[in-house]
Amino acid sequence: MTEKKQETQDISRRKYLKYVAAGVVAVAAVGGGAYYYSTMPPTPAPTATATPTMTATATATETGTTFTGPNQPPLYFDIWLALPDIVKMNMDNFNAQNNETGQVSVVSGDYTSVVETKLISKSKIDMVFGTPVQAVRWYKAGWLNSVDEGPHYSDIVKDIYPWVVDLMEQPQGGHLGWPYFVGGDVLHTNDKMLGQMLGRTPEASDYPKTWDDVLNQCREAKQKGLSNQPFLPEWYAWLGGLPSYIQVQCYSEGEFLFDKNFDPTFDVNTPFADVLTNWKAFVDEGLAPTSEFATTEAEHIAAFCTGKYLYSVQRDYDCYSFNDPTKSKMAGYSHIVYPMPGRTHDAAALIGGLFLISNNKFFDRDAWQSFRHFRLIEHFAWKDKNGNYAAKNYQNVFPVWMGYPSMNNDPATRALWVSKGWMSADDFDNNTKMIEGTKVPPVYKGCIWFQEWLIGSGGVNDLVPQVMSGKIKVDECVTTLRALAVDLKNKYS
Amino acid sequence: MRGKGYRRVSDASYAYLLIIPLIIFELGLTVYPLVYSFWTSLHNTNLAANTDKYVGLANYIHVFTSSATLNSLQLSLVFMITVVISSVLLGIGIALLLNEEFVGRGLVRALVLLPWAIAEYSCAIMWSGIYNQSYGFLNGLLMQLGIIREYTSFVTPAYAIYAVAIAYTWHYTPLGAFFFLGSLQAVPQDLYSQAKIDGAKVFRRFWVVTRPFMRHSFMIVAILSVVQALQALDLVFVMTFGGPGVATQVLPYLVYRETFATMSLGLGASLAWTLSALIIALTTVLFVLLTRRR
Amino acid sequence: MSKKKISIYVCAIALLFWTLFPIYTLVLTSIEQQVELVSAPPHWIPESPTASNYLQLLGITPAVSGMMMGTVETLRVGLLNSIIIALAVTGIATLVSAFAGFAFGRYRFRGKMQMLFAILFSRLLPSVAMIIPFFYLFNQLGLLATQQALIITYLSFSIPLATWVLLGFFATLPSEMIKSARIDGCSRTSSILRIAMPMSRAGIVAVAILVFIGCWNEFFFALMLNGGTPAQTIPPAVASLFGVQGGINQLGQPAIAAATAISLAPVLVLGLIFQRYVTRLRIVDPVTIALELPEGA
Repeated sequence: MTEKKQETQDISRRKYLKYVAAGVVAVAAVGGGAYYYSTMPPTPAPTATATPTMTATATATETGTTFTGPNQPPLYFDIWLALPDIVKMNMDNFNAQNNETGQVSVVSGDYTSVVETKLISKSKIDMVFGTPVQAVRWYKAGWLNSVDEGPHYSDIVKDIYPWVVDLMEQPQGGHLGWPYFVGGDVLHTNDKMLGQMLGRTPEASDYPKTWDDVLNQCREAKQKGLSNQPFLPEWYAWLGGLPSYIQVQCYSEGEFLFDKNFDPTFDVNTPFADVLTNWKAFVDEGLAPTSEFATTEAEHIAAFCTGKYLYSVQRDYDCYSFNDPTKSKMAGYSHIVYPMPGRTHDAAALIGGLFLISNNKFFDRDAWQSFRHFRLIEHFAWKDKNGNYAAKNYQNVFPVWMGYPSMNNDPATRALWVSKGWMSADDFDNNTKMIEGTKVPPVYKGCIWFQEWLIGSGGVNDLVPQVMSGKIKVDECVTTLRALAVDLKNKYS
Repeated sequence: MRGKGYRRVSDASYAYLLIIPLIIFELGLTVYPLVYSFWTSLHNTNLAANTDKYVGLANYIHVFTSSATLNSLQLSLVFMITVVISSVLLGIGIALLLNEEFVGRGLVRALVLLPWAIAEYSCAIMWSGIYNQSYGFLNGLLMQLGIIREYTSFVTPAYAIYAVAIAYTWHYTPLGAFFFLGSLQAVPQDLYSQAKIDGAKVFRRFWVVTRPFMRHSFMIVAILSVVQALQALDLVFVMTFGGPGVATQVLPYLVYRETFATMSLGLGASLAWTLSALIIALTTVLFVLLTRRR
Repeated sequence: MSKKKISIYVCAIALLFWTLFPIYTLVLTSIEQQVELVSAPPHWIPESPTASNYLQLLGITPAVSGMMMGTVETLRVGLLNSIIIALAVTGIATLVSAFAGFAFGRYRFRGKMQMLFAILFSRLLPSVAMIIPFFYLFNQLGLLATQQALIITYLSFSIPLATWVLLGFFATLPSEMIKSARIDGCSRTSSILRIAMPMSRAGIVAVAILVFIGCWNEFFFALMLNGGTPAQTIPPAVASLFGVQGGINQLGQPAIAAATAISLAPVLVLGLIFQRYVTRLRIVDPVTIALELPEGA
């Protein structure tokens, strides 16, 4: 028995020595690796791009180029979660019509950082969605391609709203991308409550003409006991919320915040301060809930569906929810106020989303690959090979306006949307008019720090709620934001 | 036959053998981020502006003098104190309750642990639905009970931090409760009977008999909840994104903002190390206070 | 019933209400139509409940809208990734920490206290700050946006925690059985494998469940490392549904609540199982373990 025990102990000892030797080597390797990584510079190494193995044959003619070549590597289109089935449908059409291999993938989570990471590392990203304030930064960094170089550029320019082309123009040259839809935040009504307040069916003339009118009507609604807090502002903490709403109200007062050199045009005696004062009045008189600052877009929509609010600033297409009887208590009673309340009634239909393609030069693409990319974006953003607008598929399932007058003025679309109960015919016409007459805020043309001014640390999103809660004064906020804008401009120039 | 000395050595060696995979793995994955982030905190690394210069303690000075840090520190402390006090008191209460015999005790005990098993982000979604000012369930409940007359906002700039703290307490309490329950179950029953015979009332019985047995779990729960509450990010992230404005921008959220929103890695890292220093300091204080030998 | 009994039952009911109310509101939201959700007074029992959200999200009936289709796909991918990652981490972590916990709990060796505290303090940096180094590490290794990245990350969290829990457990194992097995000629390894481990089944299972729940629920690293990629786990998927940012929102609150409930279901079940085991785990002070010890097994 003793020998057996010795044997097992001897074996253990041998095994142990082997393991220890291996362990020491491993620890040394790991320790060395850790030291190496800790002294690494912060930029990650880019991954190699795939180079096509076949060169394309090109026959150039006067009326166009008939290109052929391999349909590899696949074209990667990253989208955020918005009507992905339509996008996939359009991609299937594109693949079928062009013998292509495009792929759509939905990015959930922090869209910006995922896309930026892919752009920086040049990995599998050909076309993306983007908001204008994001896209400007990506364009400046050289990650996006100007759509000018597309073969159908001039056709699209003739077809699209002129203000879109204007908005997309960048100071260093080129155009940013093409919109996949247009439209902005508008004032929605709850005609059920408005009718109770007026004692009769509301008409368009009863709608507020200025933001003070909104305030007064809300006061009246509260006084009459119709609602505890009649106004639901779009104050939620994402780009489409407070930053969007503050622009809407400023523009409607004629305040465009920045001039074409991106210098601030606002100060304590300008409409910007008036907007904040107007908002503060809502809060001080208990006419709007301050918890809106910490809510989400989905909750904001559902909140207005409760029918407890008289007015709300929401995206124009959200009438889809407000007039749906399975979703809303005021179905059929919600309308869009036109013209936009405010001194000048200026609406700036901030483009909701853009198609953007990644930079062909930056990604080392040859002529054929570049051609594939432009073919992709022009299919989605404009017409497919059969001459049909690809975006028509959106308008069949959702009331979203497009960048082309012919699409928004199509009576078939209007009939469809009205028949589905999403909005009235007047709403359709009015919103189309608002989109047609959109102004172009100069700050959208190439200012890479606008988003930071809006939602960065110490920016609009941080300070405005503090004004509302009384922590800082309106004037102090305006001057701080003005100083911040100047700082940011200096920082990035 | 080898002597006793040999056996002890190879026991220890055997122990090393067993833990080597752990050590190797942990070294690589914990030492490296610690070293890297400390190194970064000494540079003005900013991915957007593409800077990466050694700046010594400049980041730390900025951290200590910035008003955002002060705001976040204050919020973190309020959050921590609310959570720790509530969850410890509630936890002890739950443990005491579950220590008693009653019909359905097993069921209650099983269900009580659920909030802890539910992820923080799910809690955030649930409690957002409860606190909602337009259609929330808390509003509905309070109004039906007649406690309030109108729907009201809970996640306001003034009270958001408390609202979030309550949600976090709901999530976190069961863990402490089970620690306490474990200790309670170690208390010998005859000590209670003895105390009853000696005429001690309920609270006195608790203070004299139960409390000494709970000292240990009390320390663990207190320290654990301080550390967790100061690092809690998920709940705030999903529920309020830093709150109305910056009203729930606790320190971890500020670190997130500095690191990712403005891509100032250096600043974010220095803020993170400051937070760690705070956590270590508080933990040490608690440890010393609560392990005093009597 | 004595006054004490009555107050116990009252407290128990209050406790149940406090615990279950939020869960109930989530389930309620998920089976109502939004128009009922936004009614006041609230419909505690829905008038026209519908399971359609669940049926669509679980793929039992076809999705009615594009948003829903995308959500179903995201949820399916997320569930798959979560299961794979959680199982992998649980398996490896349980194995490693069982042996490590045994060593720390029963053997005396030099540097033990230091190692224990080093493991404890390795968690001192808040996870927010660990993201970037991990990000670069995985980028260099080419593992970014893969399941392996999260598996490695979660192992680095789980192993220390599991070791700490198990060492207390192993330390209090009665050593008679192990000693008698050794006397009968069993080698050290097999005495551990064949005697000690089966004896500690409860503790090991409890720790395994703990680790699984931790991995399933982890949000921040999952969001930053894998968010938006095909290797995305459930937490970022559901959380981004809730805070749908940008784009067009057709889903409505009930569907979001249903998705949340689906992501919860596995851990709820596990949590119920776990609590049976956790009461068998005695809380032992690891410092004491390190200082005073029974002789080696």
